[in-house]
Amino acid sequence: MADKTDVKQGTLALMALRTLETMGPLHGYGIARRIEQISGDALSLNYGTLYPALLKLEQEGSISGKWGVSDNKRRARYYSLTAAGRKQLRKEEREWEQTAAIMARFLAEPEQTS
Amino acid sequence: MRAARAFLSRLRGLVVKSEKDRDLAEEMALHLQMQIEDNIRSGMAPGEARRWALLKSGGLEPAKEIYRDRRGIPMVEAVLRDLAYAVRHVRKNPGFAVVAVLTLALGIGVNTAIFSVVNALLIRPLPYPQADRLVRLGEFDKKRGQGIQTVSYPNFSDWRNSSATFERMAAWRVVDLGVMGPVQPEQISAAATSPEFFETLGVVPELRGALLSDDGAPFAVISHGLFQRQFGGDRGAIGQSIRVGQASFRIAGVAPRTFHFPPGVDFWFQERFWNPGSLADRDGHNFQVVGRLRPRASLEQARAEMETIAGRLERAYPKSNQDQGVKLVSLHEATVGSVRRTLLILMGAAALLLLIACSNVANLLLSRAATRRREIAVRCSIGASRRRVVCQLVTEGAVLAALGGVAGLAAAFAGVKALLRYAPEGLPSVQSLRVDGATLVFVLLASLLTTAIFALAPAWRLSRTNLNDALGSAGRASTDGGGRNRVRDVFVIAQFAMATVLLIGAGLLLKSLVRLQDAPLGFRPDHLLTVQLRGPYFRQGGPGAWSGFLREVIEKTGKLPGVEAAGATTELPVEGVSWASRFSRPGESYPSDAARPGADYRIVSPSYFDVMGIPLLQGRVLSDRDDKGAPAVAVINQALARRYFAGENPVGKVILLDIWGGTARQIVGVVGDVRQGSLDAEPEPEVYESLMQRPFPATVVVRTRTEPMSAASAVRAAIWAIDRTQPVGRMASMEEIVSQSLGLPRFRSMLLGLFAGLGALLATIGVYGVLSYSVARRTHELGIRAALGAGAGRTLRLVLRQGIGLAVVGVALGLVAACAVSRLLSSLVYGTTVTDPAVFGAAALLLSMSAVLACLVPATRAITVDPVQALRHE
Repeated sequence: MADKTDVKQGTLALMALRTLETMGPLHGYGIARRIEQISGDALSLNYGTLYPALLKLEQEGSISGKWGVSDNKRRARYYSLTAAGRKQLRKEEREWEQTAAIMARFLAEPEQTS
Repeated sequence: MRAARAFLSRLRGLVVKSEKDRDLAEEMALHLQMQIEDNIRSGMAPGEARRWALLKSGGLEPAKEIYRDRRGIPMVEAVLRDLAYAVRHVRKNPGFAVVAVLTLALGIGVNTAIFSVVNALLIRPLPYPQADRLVRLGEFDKKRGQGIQTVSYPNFSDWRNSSATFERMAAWRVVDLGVMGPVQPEQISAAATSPEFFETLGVVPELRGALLSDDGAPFAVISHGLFQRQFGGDRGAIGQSIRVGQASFRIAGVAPRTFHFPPGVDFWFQERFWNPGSLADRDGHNFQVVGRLRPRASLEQARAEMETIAGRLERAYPKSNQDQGVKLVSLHEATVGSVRRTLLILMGAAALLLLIACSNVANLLLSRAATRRREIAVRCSIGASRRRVVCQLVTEGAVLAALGGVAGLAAAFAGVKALLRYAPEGLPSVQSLRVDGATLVFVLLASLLTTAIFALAPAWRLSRTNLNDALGSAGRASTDGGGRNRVRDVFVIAQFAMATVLLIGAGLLLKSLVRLQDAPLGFRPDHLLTVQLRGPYFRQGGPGAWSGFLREVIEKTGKLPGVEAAGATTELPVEGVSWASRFSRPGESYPSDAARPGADYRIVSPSYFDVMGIPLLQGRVLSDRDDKGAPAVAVINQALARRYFAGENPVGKVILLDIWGGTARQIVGVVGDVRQGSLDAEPEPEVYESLMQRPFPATVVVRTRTEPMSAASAVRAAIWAIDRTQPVGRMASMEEIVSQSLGLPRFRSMLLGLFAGLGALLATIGVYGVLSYSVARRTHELGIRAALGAGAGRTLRLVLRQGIGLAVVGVALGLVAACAVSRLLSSLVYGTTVTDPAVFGAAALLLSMSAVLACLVPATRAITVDPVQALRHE
């Protein structure tokens, strides 16, 4: 497991929102699994990272949590994207793309020879 | 927006906890379960699957911890936890809490009450628009260099007309007169003013109506109080005429209810309707002047400009204006300047008292802290950071301070009420005294400050607790290391030093008060009733009729049952109001009028000296035969005789008095000196004339055989039996007037005495507490000493030395400090010096004695320690 990195600050929220948008309502475990899978198991989410992040999104009104029943008939807390969350997602996507583009340009620049 | 929403949600999170905790636990349990199942599905053995799932979770409890922090606001939660703990702690130790809270309440309450006075008088602006631009102006005798003096009307006019720095300027003088109101004749004080009096102050009389058109007929503004008393607040009175003396004024308006300038005045009219002659009299210095500066003019500019103008007047009118300068002070300063020093000293004393209270509570906390070392050590050993421990202890302190603050505020309300009741009459604008926003802020700051002082020391000490020591031995420490008491010792020393300073200050003021009360008045104030009668203007027939009326009043009241005799005077002694006149002896020549000597001047009835008990020293007093037709005579006092007739017999000599145009008077007698001004001022030279020769409004004095006020109604009835229309003014016993003149000195010495007493008490309790605690901690050691043969005397000395040593060091420091600060009192002491050795010695002795008493109790406890008990205790 040592080769798995922790999630970079600020990116988890975006990933979670994106996950909920593509997958629809999902419980915590589902969100974690999905993120790990998409990352090709490069990321590992422990509870101390995941649940506070979900709580923060819920407190900000981007997602809402509701108790429901899972596929195998167990009580589970399902998170779904709210309208505000969708807007927030769009905004963060844009910002992220910008940041990524800037970073890309920096990294692409050939090293100066002094 | 999002942040705000999250914040609100977190606030909510502070409240609902247990339910959310269960939810999270369930959510995480499900997560783990699903992970385990997935692991099994991917081929792990159940035990292995569970191990991996748990590993991956990163620990359930830490996760919950992080989650909780995100759910609420960790810092707030910590504070809330500390608060809850502190409250529990306080409730578990009610005795300790009550003592601490009461001590703090005392300190905070006293400070708040005094602050509310300081706020009302010194900080809050005067109740006029742009009050900071108002300036008092006065003439100023350059040779004698005395304070601000009254101004002659022509000088005032010239100042006003020449000044560019003043927007407006107004003059006034106060006259006592009788008003024939519709309800009853009433004696009032009136202000005879220049035009623009109200405009200068920026006050608009209410209900002005259409009476501004000045057709030359006399008009006046009346006070709200008079409007209510005489007209029942009926607006119909506006425009009506009201008779004042023999003149009649049209009521042009009513002053606002809150307007009291000059204080005690009910009636404002212009001088030109009253005594037009004074408008041109450059020698009649009777007016007070106030000016309003232009918006951007400074007091300095105005001062420079006015000095130039005064210089010009000096050259233009050398006869009257030689050496007449001009003096300017802000109206605020002129109003409250006289009490500033008193108030600041009281504020400083209150602050010292608060510091003493704080160090007492700090010592209480320190003592408790020692017994709590084990608890703190346990906290530290299970991971509490020093910061957390300090936070917790400071929170406990803050809870105490908050309780103390609330109790202190209650005390302040009571204190302000008491101050209002006992405030001397001389305290300006004391009516506006109240507990307001500024006061509340002050309480808050005072509480915070006290917390900082008394809670940080113990917290700092405790947080440095050595874990090993504390866990190993705390609570059963066989002996207290010497160094550990040092903080407490410092507090005790500081307390005694501050208490010493307070006691010395109070002692100096009390001694001054006693000296003032013992100051020779020059007359007998007991069994004297005084009755103000004003208004010869009232009497048909002019001054002569007044003289006859007065003679009849004196005769009739003197014969009333219970009355020995009656007399009259233009001004009573002690009240500080005197007329003054320059005088000279025939044949003397002076470079100018202003260079001639001055004397106080009173017009009295012949019986006055006898009634007042003023001794006759030479010649005779005035007699009934010295009336209108007889030669003009005068009686002088000893001070005048000594200063201007040294080595001569003044009786039979002639003096020329300026006051009525340089008339000659023959001196017929010399009487004893009387304190006419304030009690701390030595008597000035004085001249008395007869009311029979020069009729004037007067105050009747009646010597009674019984309590003076009991004769009041009979005296009033006797006056009204002669003339029902005569207004009867203030009736008061002379003793009361003397006592009132001591109002401010008494006020400050009583308050300072109270503070000093409380300070000494707290300091005594402080040393008692520290020593008791120390003896309790040293039971074991004392037991060993006793077992090894230390006698009672030795033990007693050992303990006493500790406590008394601290007190003595504190007192010594206090004496040194008092030498330095007692100079602040120099303008307030009378008949003693600010380094009076008797007062210093008494304060030191008193505090040392109380320290000995406080130390004796724990010391006797120390010698009764039973060695067997003490050692078994181990």
